Amino acid sequence: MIAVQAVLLVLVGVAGTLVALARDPLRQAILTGTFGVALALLFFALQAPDVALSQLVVGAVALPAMVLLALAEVRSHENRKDDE
Amino acid sequence: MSRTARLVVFAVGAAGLAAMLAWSFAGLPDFGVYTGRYGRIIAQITEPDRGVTNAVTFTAFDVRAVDTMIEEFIVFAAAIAAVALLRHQRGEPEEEEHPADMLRPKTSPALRVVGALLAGPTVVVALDLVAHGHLTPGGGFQGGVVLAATAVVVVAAGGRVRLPPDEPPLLAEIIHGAGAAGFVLLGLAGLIFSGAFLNTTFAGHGTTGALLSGGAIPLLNVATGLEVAGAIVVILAEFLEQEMLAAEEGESS
Repeated sequence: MIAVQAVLLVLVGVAGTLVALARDPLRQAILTGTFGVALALLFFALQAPDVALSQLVVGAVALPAMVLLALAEVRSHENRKDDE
Repeated sequence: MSRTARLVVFAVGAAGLAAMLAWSFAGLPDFGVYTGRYGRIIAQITEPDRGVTNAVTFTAFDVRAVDTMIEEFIVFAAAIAAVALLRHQRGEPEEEEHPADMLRPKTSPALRVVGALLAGPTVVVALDLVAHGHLTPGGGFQGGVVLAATAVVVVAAGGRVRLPPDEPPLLAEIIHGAGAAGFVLLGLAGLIFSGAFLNTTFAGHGTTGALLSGGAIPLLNVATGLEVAGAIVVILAEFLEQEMLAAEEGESS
């Protein structure tokens, strides 16, 4: 169990670093989802299934989805400006 | 300020931060060691006092139910804010006719198959999470988001997203308002029948482990589930609507 926790802890660290290092917002949004899944798995391994569920639905589903939609929104605005 | 001077200031600050961090990490309890008293008390009274087997739900919907109510209001306010901002941006209703049943640009068959396969199980998982929140991990919040995710799956697979111009996604807004109101009404019921706002004991314990047990906690879970699912669908629908409008304008120009 400790080995699983250690591996997941490292995975969360790596995923978090990747999110911070990504420069392209689109890539960042996708990586945030991966980071969210890793964090949810860590919570699960630490015997906190409730928190893991919340993390999974918010960190891995809702947050990236909203960021992606916001990005689409911003881009369509830029496109419209370019057209004018 | 010269580059060297800035580097010196940064080095001093970073060294100070590193020292403080090292100091505070040294004082942390060991990994996985819990020393608090609150958690132990909660774990002891959850089952005997309320007939609930999920201590986390007991904490969120009974011990700290007011906290949860305010969190619900935050989601509620966020949805309203998103609607207010984005709808304002949409501006004047367009005169052109928009067929109400307009579909998104065609999605790939693979995406549609996966979406169709996922939609049903997702709803079941969401309902299960909400209904058994007081017994097993889960609850209204998680279930609500999963329920909203179903809508996302359907939309992503190419379902209908076009809303009538200047009309809110009415059903989602009613659900989201009803959920928020339901939570407060259940709280008031606690005030009337058991003497304290959000006291959940007025509905009786039931048999521990049964679907209908744990006083008003399952009802609060349902209210939260409706609230959260409705709010997230409202927010996502507003975003999607914006995107659709933009895409259409792009195509026509």
